[in-house]
Amino acid sequence: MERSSPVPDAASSLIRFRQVRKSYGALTVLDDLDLDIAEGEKVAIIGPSGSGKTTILRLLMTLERYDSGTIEVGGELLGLRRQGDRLVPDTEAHLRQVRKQIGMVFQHFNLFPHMTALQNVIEAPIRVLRLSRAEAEARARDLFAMVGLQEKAASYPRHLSGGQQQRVAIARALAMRPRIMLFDEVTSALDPELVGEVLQVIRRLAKESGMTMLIVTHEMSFARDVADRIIFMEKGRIVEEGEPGVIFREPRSERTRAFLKAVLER
Amino acid sequence: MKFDFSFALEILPALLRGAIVTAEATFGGMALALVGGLVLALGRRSKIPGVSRLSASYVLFMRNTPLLVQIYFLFYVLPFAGIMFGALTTGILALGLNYSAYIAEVYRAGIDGVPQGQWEAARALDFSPGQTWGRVILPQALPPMLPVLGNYLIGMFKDSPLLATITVPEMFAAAEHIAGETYRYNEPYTLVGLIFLCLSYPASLAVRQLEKRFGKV
Repeated sequence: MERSSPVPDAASSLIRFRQVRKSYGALTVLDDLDLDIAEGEKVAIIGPSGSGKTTILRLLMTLERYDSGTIEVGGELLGLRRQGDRLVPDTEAHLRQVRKQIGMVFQHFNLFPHMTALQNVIEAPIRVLRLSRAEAEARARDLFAMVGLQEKAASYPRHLSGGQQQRVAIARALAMRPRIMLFDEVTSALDPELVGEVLQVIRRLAKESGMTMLIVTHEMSFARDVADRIIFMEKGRIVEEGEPGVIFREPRSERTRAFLKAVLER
Repeated sequence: MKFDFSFALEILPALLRGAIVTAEATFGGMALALVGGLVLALGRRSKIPGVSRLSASYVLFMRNTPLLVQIYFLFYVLPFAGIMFGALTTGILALGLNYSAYIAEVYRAGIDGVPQGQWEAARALDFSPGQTWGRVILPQALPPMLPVLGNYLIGMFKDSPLLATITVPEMFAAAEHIAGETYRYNEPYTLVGLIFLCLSYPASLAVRQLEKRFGKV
């Protein structure tokens, strides 16, 4: 793997993958992956489809299990616990404790269609965080203002454009005040003219919040603007990582160069 | 062939008394089938070894054997094993156990119809399993099931005359009884048909409204 700083030193990392392996049958999607992400870091993961980018996020969100290796979040094992010198599946209660720190925005929004935008945003704060309705609504109001959807709070998802739905989904994830936000190709399902409004929200969030952000994207100029570090993946491995300026201007790996050439000259 | 209206009027109360038993059997059977179907559908999703297969086998068996045979089996064979119920209870049991198998599949289709992304969003928001089912999955899965369940209710209603064969005094049995005593067949069976029609047809219109509202599964 080629590296140009800054990569956090392992001791201070908030997210730590060690030798993480994940396969679907014969297809290896993560190949003994090591990855460290520092608190507050904004990391964009790029690479061809099938390279394992999205799998990193899905494993962190515990939507899927990994086959071997360890993932730690805030110093705690994710999905596993130590029993003597063995690792066994974690208890549901502890798993939720660790997972609570993480929020995710999906490619296809995944809003709850039977709830209004407001209900989508306040449901989890009320049920999971046990906020009062008033507190949750106050939180939602601030978030709707942030994503520019004050007038749409009472609308159902089916009456919103894709870009609006995705902004509601961002507000919904933020309402849980996660320490880590995962963005999984959040503009890939949008019509081109709606991409900008969603990226704008994430750009601002990256600039103004201290949250740790992992962003899987095909939008190269967005990745360059928003990220402290770019990770280029291929075939389940990190091929190259480093500052955006370095990766985009003078990638060291031939494969990174070929990929960037292909997507930038599209 | 002559239709004697005054005779028809005379036997109507007896038939309607039978219709009450028909309704008891149908609603009782449906209530059992709604619960039984849920148990089977949850069993089918279970990760406990054997439970899923057991549930699938039950559905397979019930769907591939005639309801009439099941009714006879419960009524005539189970007593030899020391299990004895009244005729109506046996009838409700037979309808409920049979329709459970079909309704389990309705639940399964309804639940499978909720996109995977909904489960994932619920997980990402840290909902408990109970909250995920109660707030996210069932509110989306249930409405499309309603018309199908309505159709099964009508189906069970129309299957209920089979219970006459095990002496349940429902409407068809009442008609048979009258016919046997008076040797007049036209009026009782015509009336039974008409009463079924008068109840089934509005019900099927209601189901069609539900389909319009919620779509078909």
